[in-house]
Amino acid sequence: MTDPNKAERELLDSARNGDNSAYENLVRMHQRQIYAFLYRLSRNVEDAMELTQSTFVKAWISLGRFRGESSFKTYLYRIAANSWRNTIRDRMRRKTVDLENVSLVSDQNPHLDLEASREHGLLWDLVDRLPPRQKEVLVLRIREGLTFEEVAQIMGCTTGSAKASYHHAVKKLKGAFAESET
Amino acid sequence: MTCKNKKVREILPEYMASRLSPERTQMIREHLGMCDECRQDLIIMESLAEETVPEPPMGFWNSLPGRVTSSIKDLDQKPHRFTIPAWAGGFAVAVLLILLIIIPWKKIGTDIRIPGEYYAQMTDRFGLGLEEEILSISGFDVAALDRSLEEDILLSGDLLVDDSPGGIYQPDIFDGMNDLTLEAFEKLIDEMSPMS
Repeated sequence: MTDPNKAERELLDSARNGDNSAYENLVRMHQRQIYAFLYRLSRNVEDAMELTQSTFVKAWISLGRFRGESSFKTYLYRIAANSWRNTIRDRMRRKTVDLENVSLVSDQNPHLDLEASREHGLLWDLVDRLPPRQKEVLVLRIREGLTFEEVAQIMGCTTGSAKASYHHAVKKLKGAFAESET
Repeated sequence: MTCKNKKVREILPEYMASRLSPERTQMIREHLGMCDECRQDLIIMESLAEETVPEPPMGFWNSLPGRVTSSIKDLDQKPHRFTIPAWAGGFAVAVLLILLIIIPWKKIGTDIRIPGEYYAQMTDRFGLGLEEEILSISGFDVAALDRSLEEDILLSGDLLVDDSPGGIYQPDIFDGMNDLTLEAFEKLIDEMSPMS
Protein backbone atom coordinates (compact mmCIF):
# COMPACT_ATOMS: atom_id res chain seq x y z
CA MET A 1 0.00 0.00 0.00
CA THR A 2 1.26 3.47 -0.83
CA ASP A 3 2.23 5.65 2.13
CA PRO A 4 -0.01 8.76 1.87
CA ASN A 5 2.64 10.94 3.49
CA LYS A 6 5.22 9.75 0.99
CA ALA A 7 2.83 10.41 -1.89
CA GLU A 8 2.21 13.90 -0.52
CA ARG A 9 5.94 14.56 -0.17
CA GLU A 10 6.51 13.51 -3.76
CA LEU A 11 3.73 15.79 -4.94
CA LEU A 12 5.22 18.63 -2.91
CA ASP A 13 8.66 18.07 -4.47
CA SER A 14 7.17 18.07 -7.96
CA ALA A 15 5.13 21.19 -7.18
CA ARG A 16 8.23 22.97 -5.93
CA ASN A 17 9.86 22.15 -9.26
CA GLY A 18 7.03 23.87 -11.07
CA ASP A 19 4.75 20.90 -11.78
CA ASN A 20 1.28 22.46 -11.76
CA SER A 21 -0.57 19.16 -12.07
CA ALA A 22 1.17 17.92 -8.91
CA TYR A 23 -0.02 21.01 -7.09
CA GLU A 24 -3.54 20.50 -8.44
CA ASN A 25 -3.47 17.03 -6.89
CA LEU A 26 -2.44 18.53 -3.55
CA VAL A 27 -5.33 20.99 -3.80
CA ARG A 28 -7.73 18.09 -4.49
CA MET A 29 -6.42 16.23 -1.44
CA HIS A 30 -7.00 19.11 0.99
CA GLN A 31 -9.64 21.38 -0.51
CA ARG A 32 -12.65 19.98 1.38
CA GLN A 33 -10.93 20.16 4.76
CA ILE A 34 -9.74 23.71 4.21
CA TYR A 35 -13.13 24.82 2.92
CA ALA A 36 -14.91 23.26 5.94
CA PHE A 37 -12.45 24.92 8.31
CA LEU A 38 -12.94 28.29 6.66
CA TYR A 39 -16.70 27.89 6.62
CA ARG A 40 -16.69 27.18 10.37
CA LEU A 41 -14.68 30.31 10.95
CA SER A 42 -16.48 32.59 8.52
CA ARG A 43 -19.96 30.99 8.61
CA ASN A 44 -20.43 32.12 5.04
CA VAL A 45 -20.22 29.90 1.94
CA GLU A 46 -19.02 32.68 -0.38
CA ASP A 47 -16.30 33.79 2.02
CA ALA A 48 -15.23 30.19 2.58
CA MET A 49 -14.96 29.55 -1.18
CA GLU A 50 -12.97 32.72 -1.80
CA LEU A 51 -10.69 32.15 1.18
CA THR A 52 -10.11 28.52 0.17
CA GLN A 53 -8.86 29.55 -3.24
CA SER A 54 -6.65 32.32 -1.86
CA THR A 55 -5.27 29.92 0.77
CA PHE A 56 -4.02 27.53 -1.93
CA VAL A 57 -2.59 30.38 -4.01
CA LYS A 58 -0.75 31.81 -0.97
CA ALA A 59 0.44 28.33 -0.02
CA TRP A 60 1.95 27.93 -3.48
CA ILE A 61 3.63 31.36 -3.32
CA SER A 62 5.43 30.48 -0.09
CA LEU A 63 5.95 26.81 -0.90
CA GLY A 64 9.71 27.42 -1.09
CA ARG A 65 9.68 28.39 2.59
CA PHE A 66 7.76 25.27 3.64
CA ARG A 67 10.48 22.99 5.01
CA GLY A 68 8.23 20.10 5.97
CA GLU A 69 8.78 20.48 9.72
CA SER A 70 5.01 20.35 10.14
CA SER A 71 2.53 18.53 7.92
CA PHE A 72 1.31 20.18 4.75
CA LYS A 73 -2.19 20.13 6.24
CA THR A 74 -1.01 22.15 9.27
CA TYR A 75 0.76 24.56 6.91
CA LEU A 76 -2.49 25.04 4.97
CA TYR A 77 -4.53 25.53 8.14
CA ARG A 78 -2.10 28.19 9.26
CA ILE A 79 -2.38 30.11 5.99
CA ALA A 80 -6.18 29.70 6.03
CA ALA A 81 -6.43 30.98 9.61
CA ASN A 82 -4.25 33.99 8.78
CA SER A 83 -6.31 34.76 5.69
CA TRP A 84 -9.52 34.63 7.70
CA ARG A 85 -8.04 36.78 10.46
CA ASN A 86 -6.90 39.38 7.91
CA THR A 87 -10.35 39.41 6.32
CA ILE A 88 -12.21 39.98 9.56
CA ARG A 89 -9.64 42.53 10.67
CA ASP A 90 -10.27 44.52 7.50
CA ARG A 91 -14.02 44.26 7.98
CA MET A 92 -13.90 45.16 11.65
CA ARG A 93 -11.67 48.11 10.90
CA ARG A 94 -14.33 49.39 8.58
CA LYS A 95 -17.01 48.81 11.20
CA THR A 96 -14.76 50.03 14.07
CA VAL A 97 -15.98 47.36 16.47
CA ASP A 98 -13.69 46.06 19.19
CA LEU A 99 -13.59 42.30 18.72
CA GLU A 100 -12.26 41.58 22.17
CA ASN A 101 -15.08 43.35 23.95
CA VAL A 102 -18.15 42.08 22.18
CA SER A 103 -20.75 40.52 24.45
CA LEU A 104 -21.29 36.80 24.13
CA VAL A 105 -25.01 36.95 24.76
CA SER A 106 -27.13 38.26 21.96
CA ASP A 107 -29.59 40.96 22.93
CA GLN A 108 -32.06 39.35 20.60
CA ASN A 109 -31.89 36.01 22.45
CA PRO A 110 -32.00 36.83 26.15
CA HIS A 111 -33.57 33.50 27.11
CA LEU A 112 -31.24 31.30 25.18
CA ASP A 113 -30.76 27.87 26.70
CA LEU A 114 -28.51 25.01 25.80
CA GLU A 115 -31.16 22.73 24.31
CA ALA A 116 -32.61 25.53 22.20
CA SER A 117 -29.19 26.48 21.00
CA ARG A 118 -28.50 22.91 19.99
CA GLU A 119 -31.74 22.71 18.06
CA HIS A 120 -31.37 25.96 16.24
CA GLY A 121 -27.63 26.01 15.81
CA LEU A 122 -27.46 29.12 17.96
CA LEU A 123 -24.42 27.84 19.74
CA TRP A 124 -22.40 28.78 16.68
CA ASP A 125 -23.80 32.28 16.91
CA LEU A 126 -22.23 32.47 20.34
CA VAL A 127 -18.99 31.05 18.99
CA ASP A 128 -19.04 33.78 16.35
CA ARG A 129 -18.94 36.33 19.11
CA LEU A 130 -15.80 34.93 20.66
CA PRO A 131 -12.50 36.70 20.02
CA PRO A 132 -10.98 35.30 16.80
CA ARG A 133 -8.20 33.34 18.48
CA GLN A 134 -10.56 31.59 20.88
CA LYS A 135 -12.87 30.77 18.02
CA GLU A 136 -9.96 29.35 16.02
CA VAL A 137 -8.87 27.13 18.90
CA LEU A 138 -12.39 25.76 19.36
CA VAL A 139 -12.79 25.01 15.67
CA LEU A 140 -9.36 23.46 15.28
CA ARG A 141 -9.66 21.42 18.44
CA ILE A 142 -13.30 20.32 18.37
CA ARG A 143 -14.22 20.31 14.71
CA GLU A 144 -10.92 19.57 13.04
CA GLY A 145 -9.84 17.24 15.82
CA LEU A 146 -6.28 18.58 15.97
CA THR A 147 -4.03 18.21 18.99
CA PHE A 148 -3.06 21.23 21.08
CA GLU A 149 0.45 20.98 19.63
CA GLU A 150 -0.91 21.22 16.09
CA VAL A 151 -3.25 24.04 17.10
CA ALA A 152 -0.29 25.92 18.58
CA GLN A 153 1.72 25.44 15.37
CA ILE A 154 -1.15 26.78 13.28
CA MET A 155 -1.76 29.76 15.53
CA GLY A 156 1.92 30.52 15.96
CA CYS A 157 1.78 30.33 19.76
CA THR A 158 2.82 28.00 22.56
CA THR A 159 0.85 24.89 23.47
CA GLY A 160 0.12 26.46 26.85
CA SER A 161 -1.29 29.55 25.21
CA ALA A 162 -3.48 27.42 22.91
CA LYS A 163 -4.79 25.51 25.93
CA ALA A 164 -5.48 28.74 27.79
CA SER A 165 -7.44 30.13 24.81
CA TYR A 166 -9.40 26.89 24.60
CA HIS A 167 -10.34 26.94 28.30
CA HIS A 168 -11.31 30.61 28.09
CA ALA A 169 -13.51 29.92 25.08
CA VAL A 170 -15.34 27.00 26.69
CA LYS A 171 -15.73 28.98 29.90
CA LYS A 172 -17.22 31.93 28.03
CA LEU A 173 -19.71 29.72 26.22
CA LYS A 174 -20.79 28.12 29.49
CA GLY A 175 -21.01 31.55 31.09
CA ALA A 176 -23.31 32.68 28.31
CA PHE A 177 -25.66 29.78 29.05
CA ALA A 178 -25.59 30.44 32.78
CA GLU A 179 -26.35 34.10 32.12
CA SER A 180 -29.26 33.20 29.88
CA GLU A 181 -30.73 30.86 32.51
CA THR A 182 -30.86 33.51 35.25
CA MET B 1 -18.65 23.45 41.60
CA THR B 2 -15.61 24.04 39.45
CA CYS B 3 -13.84 20.94 38.15
CA LYS B 4 -10.12 21.04 38.81
CA ASN B 5 -9.38 18.18 36.43
CA LYS B 6 -8.16 20.20 33.47
CA LYS B 7 -6.62 17.14 31.87
CA VAL B 8 -10.02 15.50 31.43
CA ARG B 9 -11.48 18.65 29.92
CA GLU B 10 -8.57 18.91 27.51
CA ILE B 11 -9.06 15.41 26.11
CA LEU B 12 -12.84 15.55 25.82
CA PRO B 13 -12.61 16.17 22.03
CA GLU B 14 -10.66 12.90 21.67
CA TYR B 15 -13.21 11.13 23.89
CA MET B 16 -15.99 12.48 21.74
CA ALA B 17 -14.24 11.28 18.57
CA SER B 18 -13.52 7.85 20.14
CA ARG B 19 -9.80 8.29 19.71
CA LEU B 20 -8.80 7.33 23.26
CA SER B 21 -7.61 3.98 24.54
CA PRO B 22 -10.26 1.79 26.27
CA GLU B 23 -8.67 2.55 29.66
CA ARG B 24 -8.78 6.27 29.20
CA THR B 25 -12.28 6.12 27.77
CA GLN B 26 -13.43 4.33 30.90
CA MET B 27 -11.69 6.86 33.12
CA ILE B 28 -13.42 9.77 31.33
CA ARG B 29 -16.76 8.00 31.50
CA GLU B 30 -16.44 7.61 35.25
CA HIS B 31 -15.42 11.24 35.65
CA LEU B 32 -18.38 12.44 33.60
CA GLY B 33 -20.70 10.43 35.81
CA MET B 34 -19.83 12.64 38.76
CA CYS B 35 -18.82 15.99 37.20
CA ASP B 36 -21.58 18.31 35.98
CA GLU B 37 -19.13 20.83 34.61
CA CYS B 38 -17.34 18.38 32.33
CA ARG B 39 -20.69 16.98 31.19
CA GLN B 40 -21.69 20.48 30.18
CA ASP B 41 -18.39 20.89 28.34
CA LEU B 42 -19.11 17.68 26.47
CA ILE B 43 -22.61 18.83 25.51
CA ILE B 44 -21.15 22.05 24.11
CA MET B 45 -18.55 20.13 22.12
CA GLU B 46 -21.06 17.66 20.76
CA SER B 47 -23.30 20.50 19.78
CA LEU B 48 -20.46 22.26 17.97
CA ALA B 49 -19.43 19.05 16.26
CA GLU B 50 -22.98 18.32 15.07
CA GLU B 51 -23.32 21.20 12.71
CA THR B 52 -22.91 20.30 9.05
CA VAL B 53 -21.02 22.44 6.60
CA PRO B 54 -23.07 23.49 3.56
CA GLU B 55 -21.72 22.33 0.23
CA PRO B 56 -20.47 25.01 -2.14
CA PRO B 57 -22.21 25.35 -5.54
CA MET B 58 -21.88 22.44 -7.95
CA GLY B 59 -18.66 22.34 -9.88
CA PHE B 60 -16.66 24.14 -7.19
CA TRP B 61 -14.58 21.11 -6.20
CA ASN B 62 -13.78 20.15 -9.79
CA SER B 63 -12.86 23.64 -10.85
CA LEU B 64 -10.92 24.77 -7.78
CA PRO B 65 -7.55 23.07 -8.57
CA GLY B 66 -7.59 24.53 -12.10
CA ARG B 67 -8.54 27.99 -10.83
CA VAL B 68 -5.75 27.90 -8.28
CA THR B 69 -3.09 26.99 -10.87
CA SER B 70 -4.39 29.55 -13.37
CA SER B 71 -4.18 32.23 -10.64
CA ILE B 72 -0.61 31.09 -10.04
CA LYS B 73 0.18 31.36 -13.78
CA ASP B 74 -1.29 34.86 -13.82
CA LEU B 75 0.99 35.80 -10.94
CA ASP B 76 3.99 34.38 -12.85
CA GLN B 77 3.16 36.30 -16.00
CA LYS B 78 2.66 39.61 -14.33
CA PRO B 79 5.78 41.71 -14.64
CA HIS B 80 7.32 42.66 -11.34
CA ARG B 81 6.40 46.28 -11.27
CA PHE B 82 8.04 48.84 -9.13
CA THR B 83 5.38 49.74 -6.62
CA ILE B 84 5.37 53.16 -5.09
CA PRO B 85 4.92 52.93 -1.34
CA ALA B 86 1.91 54.71 0.15
CA TRP B 87 4.05 57.18 2.12
CA ALA B 88 5.94 58.35 -1.00
CA GLY B 89 3.25 60.87 -2.00
CA GLY B 90 3.29 62.62 1.36
CA PHE B 91 7.08 62.60 1.40
CA ALA B 92 7.26 64.20 -2.06
CA VAL B 93 4.83 66.94 -1.03
CA ALA B 94 6.86 67.62 2.13
CA VAL B 95 10.10 67.87 0.13
CA LEU B 96 8.44 70.22 -2.36
CA LEU B 97 7.19 72.48 0.42
CA ILE B 98 10.62 72.58 2.04
CA LEU B 99 12.21 73.50 -1.29
CA LEU B 100 9.62 76.22 -1.87
CA ILE B 101 10.51 77.71 1.50
CA ILE B 102 14.28 77.42 1.10
CA ILE B 103 14.82 78.46 -2.55
CA PRO B 104 13.60 82.09 -2.32
CA TRP B 105 16.07 82.71 0.52
CA LYS B 106 19.01 81.09 -1.21
CA LYS B 107 21.08 83.60 -3.16
CA ILE B 108 22.64 82.54 -6.39
CA GLY B 109 26.34 83.22 -6.44
CA THR B 110 28.70 84.22 -3.67
CA ASP B 111 27.51 86.18 -0.69
CA ILE B 112 30.00 88.75 0.41
CA ARG B 113 29.52 89.50 4.08
CA ILE B 114 31.33 92.28 5.81
CA PRO B 115 31.03 93.15 9.50
CA GLY B 116 29.15 96.45 9.86
CA GLU B 117 31.82 98.08 12.03
CA TYR B 118 34.58 97.29 9.58
CA TYR B 119 32.48 98.59 6.71
CA ALA B 120 32.04 101.91 8.53
CA GLN B 121 35.77 102.21 9.20
CA MET B 122 36.62 101.52 5.59
CA THR B 123 34.19 104.04 4.16
CA ASP B 124 35.27 106.70 6.66
CA ARG B 125 38.98 106.25 6.14
CA PHE B 126 39.22 105.74 2.42
CA GLY B 127 35.98 107.13 1.08
CA LEU B 128 35.77 104.21 -1.24
CA GLY B 129 32.80 103.51 -3.39
CA LEU B 130 30.75 100.79 -1.92
CA GLU B 131 31.35 98.26 -4.65
CA GLU B 132 35.07 98.87 -4.68
CA GLU B 133 35.26 98.63 -0.96
CA ILE B 134 33.50 95.32 -0.90
CA LEU B 135 35.75 93.84 -3.51
CA SER B 136 38.83 95.32 -1.90
CA ILE B 137 38.05 93.69 1.40
CA SER B 138 37.52 90.45 -0.42
CA GLY B 139 41.08 90.61 -1.75
CA PHE B 140 40.39 91.53 -5.35
CA ASP B 141 42.30 93.92 -7.54
CA VAL B 142 39.75 96.72 -7.44
CA ALA B 143 41.49 98.93 -9.96
CA ALA B 144 41.55 96.15 -12.53
CA LEU B 145 37.95 95.36 -11.86
CA ASP B 146 36.98 98.97 -12.23
CA ARG B 147 38.60 99.17 -15.59
CA SER B 148 36.91 96.03 -16.82
CA LEU B 149 33.53 96.81 -15.47
CA GLU B 150 33.41 100.41 -16.47
CA GLU B 151 32.08 99.73 -19.91
CA ASP B 152 29.96 96.71 -19.20
CA ILE B 153 28.58 96.83 -15.71
CA LEU B 154 26.21 99.06 -13.99
CA LEU B 155 25.90 98.36 -10.34
CA SER B 156 22.76 99.98 -9.16
CA GLY B 157 21.58 97.76 -6.35
CA ASP B 158 20.76 99.26 -3.02
CA LEU B 159 23.00 98.11 -0.24
CA LEU B 160 21.47 96.93 2.98
CA VAL B 161 23.32 97.90 6.06
CA ASP B 162 22.77 96.33 9.42
CA ASP B 163 24.67 98.65 11.72
CA SER B 164 23.78 97.02 14.96
CA PRO B 165 26.89 96.11 17.02
CA GLY B 166 28.46 93.08 15.44
CA GLY B 167 25.80 93.16 12.74
CA ILE B 168 26.26 91.82 9.33
CA TYR B 169 26.52 93.97 6.27
CA GLN B 170 24.85 92.18 3.43
CA PRO B 171 25.28 93.83 0.07
CA ASP B 172 22.99 92.93 -2.77
CA ILE B 173 25.45 93.99 -5.38
CA PHE B 174 24.37 91.37 -7.87
CA ASP B 175 20.70 92.32 -7.79
CA GLY B 176 21.07 95.50 -9.83
CA MET B 177 23.53 94.13 -12.32
CA ASN B 178 22.61 94.46 -15.97
CA ASP B 179 24.29 94.02 -19.36
CA LEU B 180 26.40 91.22 -17.98
CA THR B 181 25.45 87.77 -16.93
CA LEU B 182 26.26 86.55 -13.49
CA GLU B 183 28.52 83.85 -14.94
CA ALA B 184 30.61 86.42 -16.79
CA PHE B 185 30.92 88.53 -13.70
CA GLU B 186 32.04 85.60 -11.59
CA LYS B 187 34.55 84.60 -14.26
CA LEU B 188 35.96 88.07 -14.24
CA ILE B 189 36.30 88.08 -10.48
CA ASP B 190 38.02 84.71 -10.62
CA GLU B 191 40.58 85.99 -13.08
CA MET B 192 41.41 88.97 -10.92
CA SER B 193 41.44 87.17 -7.65
CA PRO B 194 44.88 87.04 -5.98
CA MET B 195 44.19 83.36 -5.23
CA SER B 196 43.86 82.41 -8.91
